[in-house]
Amino acid sequence: MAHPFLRAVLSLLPPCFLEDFLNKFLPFCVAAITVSIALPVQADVESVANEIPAVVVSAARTEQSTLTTPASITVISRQQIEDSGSRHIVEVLRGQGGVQINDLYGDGSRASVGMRGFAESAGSNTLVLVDGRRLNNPDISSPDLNSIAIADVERIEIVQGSAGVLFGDQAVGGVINIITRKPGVIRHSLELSAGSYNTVMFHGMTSQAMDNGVNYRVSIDARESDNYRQHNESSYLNGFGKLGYDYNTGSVFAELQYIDDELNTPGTLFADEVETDRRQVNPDFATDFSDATTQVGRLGLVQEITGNWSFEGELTRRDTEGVFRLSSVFGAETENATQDRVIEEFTPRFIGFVPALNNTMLTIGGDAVESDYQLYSRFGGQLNDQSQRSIYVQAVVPATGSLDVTLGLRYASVENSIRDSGTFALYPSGVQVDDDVTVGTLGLAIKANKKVRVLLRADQNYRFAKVDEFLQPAYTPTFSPILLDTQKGLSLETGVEWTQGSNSAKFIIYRLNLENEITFDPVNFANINLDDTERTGIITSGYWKTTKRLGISASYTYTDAEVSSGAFAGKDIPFVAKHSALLATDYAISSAWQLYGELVAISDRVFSGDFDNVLGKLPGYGVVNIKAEYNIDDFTFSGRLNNVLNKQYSDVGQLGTDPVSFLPREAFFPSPEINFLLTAAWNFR
Amino acid sequence: MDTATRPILTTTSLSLLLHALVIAGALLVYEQVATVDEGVGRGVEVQLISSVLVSDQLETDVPRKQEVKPEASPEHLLRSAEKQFAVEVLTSMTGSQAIVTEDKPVEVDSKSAEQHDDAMQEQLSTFQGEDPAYAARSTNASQQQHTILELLHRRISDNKEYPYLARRQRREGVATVAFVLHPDGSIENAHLVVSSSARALDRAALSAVQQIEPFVVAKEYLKNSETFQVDIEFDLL
Repeated sequence: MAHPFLRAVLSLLPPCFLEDFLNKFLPFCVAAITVSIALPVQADVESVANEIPAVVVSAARTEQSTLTTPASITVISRQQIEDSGSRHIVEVLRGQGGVQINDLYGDGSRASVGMRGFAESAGSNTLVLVDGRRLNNPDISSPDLNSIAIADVERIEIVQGSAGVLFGDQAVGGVINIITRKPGVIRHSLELSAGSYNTVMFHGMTSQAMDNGVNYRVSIDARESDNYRQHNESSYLNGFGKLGYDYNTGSVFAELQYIDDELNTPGTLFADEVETDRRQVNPDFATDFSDATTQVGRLGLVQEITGNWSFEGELTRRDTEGVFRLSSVFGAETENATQDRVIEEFTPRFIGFVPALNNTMLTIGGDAVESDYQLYSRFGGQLNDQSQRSIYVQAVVPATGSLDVTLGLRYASVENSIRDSGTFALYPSGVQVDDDVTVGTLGLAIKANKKVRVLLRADQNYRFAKVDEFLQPAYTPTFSPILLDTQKGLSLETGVEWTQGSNSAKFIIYRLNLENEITFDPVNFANINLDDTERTGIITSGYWKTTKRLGISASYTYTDAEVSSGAFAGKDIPFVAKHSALLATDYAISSAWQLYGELVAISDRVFSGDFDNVLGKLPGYGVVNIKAEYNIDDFTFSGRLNNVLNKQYSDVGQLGTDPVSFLPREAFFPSPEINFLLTAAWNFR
Repeated sequence: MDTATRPILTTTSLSLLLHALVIAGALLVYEQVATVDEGVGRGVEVQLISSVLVSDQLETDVPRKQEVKPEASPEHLLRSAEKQFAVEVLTSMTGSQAIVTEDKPVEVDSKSAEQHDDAMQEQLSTFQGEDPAYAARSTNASQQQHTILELLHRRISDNKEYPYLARRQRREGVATVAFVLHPDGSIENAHLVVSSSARALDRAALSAVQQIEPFVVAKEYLKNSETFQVDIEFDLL
């Protein structure tokens, strides 16, 4: 009974429990052990067999995708993540084909990941999944990518394009699927990092899959930093525990996570303030902050039903309690606001093969998402209980040996019970907003030969208005009631993928048309449905292992996003970069030393919120990051230098308001200059 | 969902979580008890590993499974000796793999299993054709014996498939399948000797073996029906 955690758990139970438990359980244990000893003996005496050399059946990482989508998937492997020395998932994703990162403070704490021309509403149009669990919020807050410690990530899959049928709400531009490491042999790791701006980070993890089928992973991730800007101190604690059990016909797991996220938010600076001191905080914002604690509980089951069919389902509850203060240029806020959300999800699905239909793979499922959202500020309360229900079916039909046809349909409905209070209340007695939508998909995947795959897809997508979009963005009084319509879209794309050994390349062209795109209009302080919008783009990426030591990866994304009808017709959709690129190289000097370097570049962008395109453009930039790593025995030492060329740039800029003239003005979130992070890691068994 | 059922959902999930923790605790206790009480259990494990190790180091060592001899007629002894040799040669080749299986570094992306498989095939050909040590020691019968083992290995490899649903669940394991091969190429009594602990993998292993039927070349190698056994290892890389 050396396990302290177990002892702690058992100590919570009545004193007699342990004794009872052992008395009842021990005979069973002994019996089980007897059987387990008897089995190999039985095998031995069975007969004298001729032993055929062992047959090994292996599947590559890329074939393991848990997503039954035929879309083009870019996989970032554990090795690539380690090679890059990235501190956050955001850093890994930056510059990847089709992906645009917007990081307010340069530490990943308030960053959003957008795919295919979504920038300011990225968090609502790109779905982030962690082992299949939705990380997106029912309100406009971006999913917290830092909640997944990078040391726990097995791989990241970037699913290109809409996946409305398979994933429903918010899978508009694409899906980022983060897969955490599955426990294997017992393994522990301890990581300590220190770097610029008094940054200290710790990560500890232990995991094991036991022979009896029980597996677990426990990890703690803690970070403290003053960050680049003044009044931008952060403190982040993330505790995670997962317990699983693999049995003959399936597996179950339970997960618990606790996150404490505290951050001082320095807000934006105008150009003259950036000129004077780009690290400063505007005095009006000097007491702003955003703290939140999140608790996540999750239960999952995979159960084989027949040889061809299995059931998968997860039950998730995520509870976030936030306190924040958000000032404007018109004066410092003095009161705190609270923002709480409780999300409960049930996501059952059946996956199976139909031999009678040429081994067609069917996915039939339903999603139920309940969100309870409450925001209280000095303007009053904003409450919304949202309920989403959907059912879907998708079939991947192997029409011929080289052609797969995908067909799918999803029906989704939403019910919002909205109520607000206070001086500016619009719906003090409540209002009900319900809607439903049906989307379909049709795709062709042609395997031209072993190396080349051609994809043709038409996908419909949708996103329901978020719980806080019916009222107003947090903390501003409501001026006009706008009951938003559901955003709907159609994505058409074609792509070619080439793979040979570890080398790969892909080329994708797409067009994405949306109607009723939901966005925030900062001029009128209102969430609106835009008229039609159109995004067209090209995504190319490739990886080339030139020698055993040197690998080069490159990607380039072209995006043209504009409003195609209505008041803003012909205008560029704000904050979407036309060009972005990544060039990265990893070089193994020896088995102990490894070097990594990357160039991330992005072109200029219309300021966020500037639908009239009246302001100038936020300048583009190119940033170089390098990393060196030294391995000895169980230890790894690494150093990463970010922004080596010491560029002064802003990753995010938005339309602000001049406090005197009330005219739109460029506002910046200055990004960190040259900075470093040193890490020592100990991986042992 | 209405406000009345919400607390029920919440309570149910919490209670399920708590139960899961208790079950986990129970299983941990089971693990502890097994370690403390059952020296025998551990002993068996150690023996298995050491037998593989020894057979890897000393080619002359006889694999443990061969120690059990139900018959002792001179004819049988001769055949058994041939088999021993074939198995011994193969074990010496596959022994290192067996060790990898016992203690697999999950995150180390060493040679892919596919390559390993190919390498083993190459080794087999080398053994058959060129290796002087082998040529010196082999008898015609044992050469035939291990040629059929090689052919069976290839045929089973041709049918191997990682079941999609097992891949999704990231299930791995080794299933041992035994079967009787008749000289006419038919297969009888294909069954699991050791389960992989995942039914989907067991089924795929059995199916890979069953699909080799009819194994028409059997008549060139077999006079009588014989029992064969194969480990089918499912690895996710």
